[in-house]
Amino acid sequence: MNSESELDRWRSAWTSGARVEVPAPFDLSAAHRRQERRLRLHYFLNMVVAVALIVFAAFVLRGNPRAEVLVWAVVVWLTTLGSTGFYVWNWRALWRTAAKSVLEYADVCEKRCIATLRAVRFGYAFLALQFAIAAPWLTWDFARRQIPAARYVSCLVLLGTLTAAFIFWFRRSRQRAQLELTQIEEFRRGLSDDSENASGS
Amino acid sequence: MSQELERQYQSICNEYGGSLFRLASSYESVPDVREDLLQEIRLALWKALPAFRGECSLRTFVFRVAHNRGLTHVWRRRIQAQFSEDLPDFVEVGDPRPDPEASAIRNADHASLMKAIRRLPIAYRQVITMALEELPQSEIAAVLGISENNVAVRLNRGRKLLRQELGGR
Repeated sequence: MNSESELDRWRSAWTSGARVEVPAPFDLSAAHRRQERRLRLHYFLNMVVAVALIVFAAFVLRGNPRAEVLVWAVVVWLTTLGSTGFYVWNWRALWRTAAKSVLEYADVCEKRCIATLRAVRFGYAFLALQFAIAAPWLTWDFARRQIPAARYVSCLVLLGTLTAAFIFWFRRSRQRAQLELTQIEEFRRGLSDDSENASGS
Repeated sequence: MSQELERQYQSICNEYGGSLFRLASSYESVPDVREDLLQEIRLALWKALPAFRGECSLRTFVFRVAHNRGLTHVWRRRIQAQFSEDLPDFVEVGDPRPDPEASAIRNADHASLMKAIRRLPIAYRQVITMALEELPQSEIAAVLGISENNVAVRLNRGRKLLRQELGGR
């Protein structure tokens, strides 16, 4: 069969199922506003939590100016500033991508996956650090009879539960990012196979 | 500004509404999920439109945005399939609702072509669907960000694969 007539036949079949629909722009505008609000709120909440932690540590230190509390406050400030700085740096300029070419878009998607994997690694390290500081600290307080046994146990249970929840979330995020990376690589491989043939032809 | 944006968006919908629906259909066969994908494409267009400065044609812009959303959709569905036992393979999920016009020959042709296109690897599917939308090779290259040579090779291979999927018809 002639290749042009074959393509024409396919085209005719392809367009026969068309359904043209014009949605009201107002709804999209509202959906866009909602989405932007959600993103800003997420960013804003991250910042609010960071500021609240810093202020809280300062407030506690002011009410109880002992060397031990100062060490605790410094740990809170450093970890909060470190994690907030990492959050801002890790996700910089990886969002406005819609109108890029498909290949460029795949590149950005890959960078987002890599950023997710980096965030997960940072999260694990951060979690280990928090655990390494909090558990001995609590135990030390308990050994010196600064806190009662019931409070010590409940704090350890809370710490363990939070750590387990974060580990579950990190594992899932990492699996998703790795799966997406595999698909992006597969997609790219499809392109490069053809590129080789194209350059060879 | 907002009115101008709405006018521009409306003209995109009028001109490319059918193309967008077919493109979404090439990525997703389940009607409800396809509707969601279409909505995502429309939203992505609405969001990207203010940044459109005419560096490429409006059609290239529309197809870029739509294919990028389609790709994300396919990747997400595959990831969902990995996490959910209910969804063993998204590509094979068929339309659960009966097609009221299935008896019409044209629709049957359309349905079997669409089914065959969905079975193609994404790299070929994108080129074939754009060729069916009568985009010239230079424009397909601009949408995908690859060379025209590469488009030609993929188009040839894609046609061969599509012919096989259609049973050599």
